Amino acid sequence: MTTQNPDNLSSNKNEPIGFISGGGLEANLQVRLTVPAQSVQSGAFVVMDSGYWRFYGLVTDLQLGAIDPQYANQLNIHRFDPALASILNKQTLFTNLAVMPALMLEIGPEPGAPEYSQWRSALSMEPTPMPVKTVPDHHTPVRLADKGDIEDIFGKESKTVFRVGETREQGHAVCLDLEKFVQRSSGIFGTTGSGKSFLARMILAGLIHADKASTLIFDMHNEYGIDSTSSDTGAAVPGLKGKFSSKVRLVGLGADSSFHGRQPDFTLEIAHSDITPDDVLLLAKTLNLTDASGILLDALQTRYRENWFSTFMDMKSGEGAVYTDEDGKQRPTEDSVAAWANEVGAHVGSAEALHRKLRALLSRGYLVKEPASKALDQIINNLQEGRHVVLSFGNYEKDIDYLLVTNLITRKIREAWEKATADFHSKKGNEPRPLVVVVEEAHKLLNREMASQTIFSTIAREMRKYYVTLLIIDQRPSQIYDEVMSQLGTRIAASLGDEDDINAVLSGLPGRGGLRGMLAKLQPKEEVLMLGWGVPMPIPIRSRRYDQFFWDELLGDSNKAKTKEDALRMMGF
Amino acid sequence: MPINYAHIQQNLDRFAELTQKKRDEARQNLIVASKIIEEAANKQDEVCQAVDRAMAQAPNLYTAKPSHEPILGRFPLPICPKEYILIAADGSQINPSRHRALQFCLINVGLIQVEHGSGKTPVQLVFTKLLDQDELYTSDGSLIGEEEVALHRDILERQYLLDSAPAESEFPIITLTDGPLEVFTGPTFSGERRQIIQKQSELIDKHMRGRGIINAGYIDKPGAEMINRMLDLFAHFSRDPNLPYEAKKRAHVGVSDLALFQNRLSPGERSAIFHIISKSESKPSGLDVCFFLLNVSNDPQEPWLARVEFPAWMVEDKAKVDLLHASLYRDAQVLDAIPYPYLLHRAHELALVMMAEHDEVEEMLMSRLDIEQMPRGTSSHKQSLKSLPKR
Amino acid sequence: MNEIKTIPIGKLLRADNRQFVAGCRVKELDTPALGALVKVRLQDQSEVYGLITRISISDDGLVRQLASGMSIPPEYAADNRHNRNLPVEIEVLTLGFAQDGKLYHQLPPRPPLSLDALYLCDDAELVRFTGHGKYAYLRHILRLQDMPVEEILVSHLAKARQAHEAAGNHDWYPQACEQLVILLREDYPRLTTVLDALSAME
Repeated sequence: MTTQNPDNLSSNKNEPIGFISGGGLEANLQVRLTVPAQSVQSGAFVVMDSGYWRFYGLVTDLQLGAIDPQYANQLNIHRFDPALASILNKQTLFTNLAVMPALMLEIGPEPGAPEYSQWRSALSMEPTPMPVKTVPDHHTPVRLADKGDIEDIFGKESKTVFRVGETREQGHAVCLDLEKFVQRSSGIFGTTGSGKSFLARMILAGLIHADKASTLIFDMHNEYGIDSTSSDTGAAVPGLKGKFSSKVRLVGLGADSSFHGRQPDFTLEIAHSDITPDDVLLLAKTLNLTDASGILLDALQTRYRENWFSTFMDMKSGEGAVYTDEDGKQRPTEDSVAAWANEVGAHVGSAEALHRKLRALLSRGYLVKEPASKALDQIINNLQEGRHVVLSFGNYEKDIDYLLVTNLITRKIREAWEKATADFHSKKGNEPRPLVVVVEEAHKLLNREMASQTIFSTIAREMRKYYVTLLIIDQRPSQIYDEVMSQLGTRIAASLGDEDDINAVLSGLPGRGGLRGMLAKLQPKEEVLMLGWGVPMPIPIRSRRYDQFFWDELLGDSNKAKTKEDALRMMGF
Repeated sequence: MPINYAHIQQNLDRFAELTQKKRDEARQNLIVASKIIEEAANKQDEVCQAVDRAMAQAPNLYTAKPSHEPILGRFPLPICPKEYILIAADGSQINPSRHRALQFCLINVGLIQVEHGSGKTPVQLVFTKLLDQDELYTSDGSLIGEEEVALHRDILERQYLLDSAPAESEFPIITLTDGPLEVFTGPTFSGERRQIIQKQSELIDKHMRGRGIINAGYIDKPGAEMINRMLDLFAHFSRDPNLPYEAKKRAHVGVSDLALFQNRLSPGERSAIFHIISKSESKPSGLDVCFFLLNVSNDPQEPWLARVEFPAWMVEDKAKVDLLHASLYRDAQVLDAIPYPYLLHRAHELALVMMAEHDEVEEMLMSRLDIEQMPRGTSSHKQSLKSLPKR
Repeated sequence: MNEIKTIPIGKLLRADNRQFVAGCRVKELDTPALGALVKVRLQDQSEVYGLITRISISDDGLVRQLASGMSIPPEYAADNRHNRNLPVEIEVLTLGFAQDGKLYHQLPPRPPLSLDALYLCDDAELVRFTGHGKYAYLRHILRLQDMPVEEILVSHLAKARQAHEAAGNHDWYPQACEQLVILLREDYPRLTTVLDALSAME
């Protein structure tokens, strides 16, 4: 949270929209509206000054009320003289707001007042906004937050404080502190067509630009790295590589990968020796492996170490794996799977079944005995040096590819970062560069079944002490293991249709009943709700548009040159 | 101190008995009188002669005497002229009292004048007179009493009536007061005072006559027995014309004129005109007055008779008599529940003086006295006690 | 047109801090109107302002007889209208008082103990009294029981409104209505009755 110098605190000049009439901490504050109901919408960010404190809250509900229901139940304008009816309505009909109090900040007396200096000198440290613990007084005036209030809470826009969007009611900038953002795993959620991909692109752009962490983006659908076209509008959608060419490495999976004619910076081939039995077990469902597989794989690894996969795959099975011996019996050849199974005392049938299933992997073009280069290490090095890697899966779109590759790479990352952290703590090295691993379709990797097996849940749960966090982008958060969901710090949610998904986004966050309704009513492509640890308080915002203007704002002059290049490139030059 | 009911109780029975006896007597006498009047109706000349004879003999006589109209004549209601002027006057008074701090006498006369047929609002006037000091005391130095004050009042009423009657009018004028026309009905005055008042009265009458003003008096529920006396005289002298008349001896007493004519007049009808013979040693002779009885009710079952008096000079002026008859009946009909001339009622309203105003006037006078540094009297203890607020 | 400015009071029949009843004799045409603002002067030179809430004509024998009588000569009808003072009881609800030139909308500290006359306030005084403060005097009117409050209110507001608008103040009436609504909004039946009456006034 940003600390506030009380002398610099903004003084809100907005006219009050109402005053506090009741309610409480648990059940929300009740505010009697003194302006027309349509001038306030749910999700509005409001400010209330009471005593020495400033309270910040969110409007979660609006309710119509009347001094006596009979006034509401009849059309006064028909019964009485219109001028009288108008007076009557004004005095007997009202609207109440339910305001969820979120934060409070000690602001002290008026700066010019005599008590001020006394209070100031009594402060032991600069006050910071803290979770709300008390209530404002009855009749405290309630105002819409102004630009300064938003900045006091969410920070002023800068390189590391990234503007995600604007408040819905007045269009003030709302920012995300990226340094804080990367300290915990986070999530961007929304149904297909809700604009979550644009949102993700913007935040990644911000992250890259802020240069406080490296990012590894598993670009499953080739959305982030290269320029593409919007399916809705047909407009050009700039890619990260194009905008940050020197900082971003575009990596293609498999030697033959290319992106619409554009060459990747390098390609990734995975050596057989990179695969571990755990990697294989991760694919148990996909490959339809049996329980026995684990034992077999262990046996293989014990025997052949890192060459277990190559060796196993080289073993013969089927016709070429038998020969007829002296006695005329069919016998397994020496280099057969059966022979090995017999040798280690394993069930031949299971071993042959395993062998058969694993052959599916061989068809993957990126999996080779001897890769041309040490691309994996290259990826790691780039990341550690502060660059960003977009791994594009090219034509490899199957679940098996996604699961295998992401898990494998991330495992490597874990090793590397754990070592770097250990070195740092024993003073042998520098502080490791924070890394954010961006994972799409996270429910495939992080569902309940998989969660215990993949490295991702480990990262989500533990790796922040090793400077590695996840950024999950997903449309079915309800399918993500709830232990992982509850570990997420910042959650940015676009519109979600499903009630379970909405509840999943809120999991692990205390008492957020009012937010449920807000989440359900987000406008697709326009609005998102930010909440969680990384955000001072939940807030719905109108999301920033990911367009040319965005890039101009982010990159300033340096973007102009890029723009021209991009323009030329897009025209086919 | 509350009444001693025990004492009354003893008398109650006796009282009731005597009253009943008297009533029965009166009823009997009425029957007798009724017979006599019917007889008298046929012998009108004899009646007149009887009265003349009595007048010659008796020093004091108070009786009726037939006029040119038949005794039992019934005169139906004439058509009331549309346009005429009616002026009514009534007075009230504050009598001087030696119990009060200051002795003064106040007479209040209310007067109301209507021009019938004009549609105009009647004009109201109130005259208030404070008697002069020399008028307050009799020749022997005692304060004048209520009756004397009433006399002053009567004269004033008449004076104001005369004064406010329009000098020139194309319409007939009627002035109306409550009570008999004769002024000296009450107290006895002697000497100078009497002469002054008498002169005043005569002058007023003269002027009234001169201008043709119908000066009438209205007596509601008359209790007089003038006609009864007349019948008595008739009966007496018809028995024996030469028998001396003894005033003290009266036959068939208790029969009022009202009782005699109660059932002989339909609503709106008047009786015949009679002269009033009022002769007294102690009182000066006043105006010659006539009267008729008038049934002012509109319900045949419920007769209500009043006596209307007027000066004798108009007795043969049929137009005037008819006007008086019709206008008074009309006025009495305005208040139909209890017939009484509306305008007299109004005059009475105007004249009322309330106790509070009595105090106010006294206060006014007292403060005048203070200013002129004269000592105030003090009220007698009796009066002080009486004056305690009853509010 | 009623030009009478004062009504002499014959008797003060009853009085307390909240209201008083005066017995007067007035001519029929001079009978003051319901809802009119009046004032009386007390012994100590302070003035008490009030609203006429009830006018009852006492039993007048003459009037009673006249009423049931046959056709009355037009002159006598005129006599009653113009000449006769009717015994009238005027009930006045206290709204406030003035002392040493200052106006207050509270009840006076002392009720009137004896009175000379009831003064009918003219438009200037009506504007002054009703324009003072924040319509606090209205609550005295609303406290009335056993009376047609809405009739009194409407007649009073109509007069006050006219006076204020003639003086150029067009805000007084809407603000007065607003105050009324605020005072009565907890009492739905009562408020709607008053508003119905006010709406009909238009």
